[in-house]
Amino acid sequence: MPILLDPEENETRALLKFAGSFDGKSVLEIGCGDGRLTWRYADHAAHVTGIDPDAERFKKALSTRPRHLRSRVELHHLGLDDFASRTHTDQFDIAILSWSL
Amino acid sequence: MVHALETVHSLLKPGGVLVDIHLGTEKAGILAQVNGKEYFLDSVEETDDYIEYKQANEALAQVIERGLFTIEEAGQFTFLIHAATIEEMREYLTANWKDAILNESVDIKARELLTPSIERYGIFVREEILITRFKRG
Repeated sequence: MPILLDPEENETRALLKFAGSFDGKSVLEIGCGDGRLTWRYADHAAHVTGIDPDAERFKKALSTRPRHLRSRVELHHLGLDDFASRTHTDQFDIAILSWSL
Repeated sequence: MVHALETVHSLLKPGGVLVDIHLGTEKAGILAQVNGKEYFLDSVEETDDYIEYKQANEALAQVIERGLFTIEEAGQFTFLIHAATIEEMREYLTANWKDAILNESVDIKARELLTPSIERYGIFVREEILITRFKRG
């Protein structure tokens, strides 16, 4: 049996409840890791930017990103400071600190 | 951590929403499930004794006090990690939760529960996770 993470999807339910509506929203996920959580909500958002400084997890996210999300979810192998230095301020409707604070 | 929150504040549009998900200060537990019944084996220790989670809460309190964010809703949920065996769980934790420590007593207790009459057996880690919705001030 493979390792199962959050098989009851409590995390997804909590995120969808706490973030409110993702419809038409621009989302920044800080610490997106391998995209495990990202793929679960990205369908609802207009655009998602996922960042993570961990090379291994970032590679996995790139390789597992569902085809239908490729235009909607952009991924960056960057920490928050580096990402912010290349990004305009006041850009995102929703930011998710995903186990990364 | 305060700097990270200041950065997030600058990236969000005015009135934007921050959702923070992080482990609470309560230690995660490792349990065995035997024929549908749960047995607590031990707490999952961390090399830094969960200090970073206390620091995260303090950083959030600081930025709230400064008016960068206001809390709109706070809650918690249970996050489970399932494995077939204690060895599989150890391997997963070593790769993915680098400062987690499982005491050797966990292996002994887990093996004691494994008897020939068992039909269903599994190991899981249970974590209580805090989730908070903030509004950019």
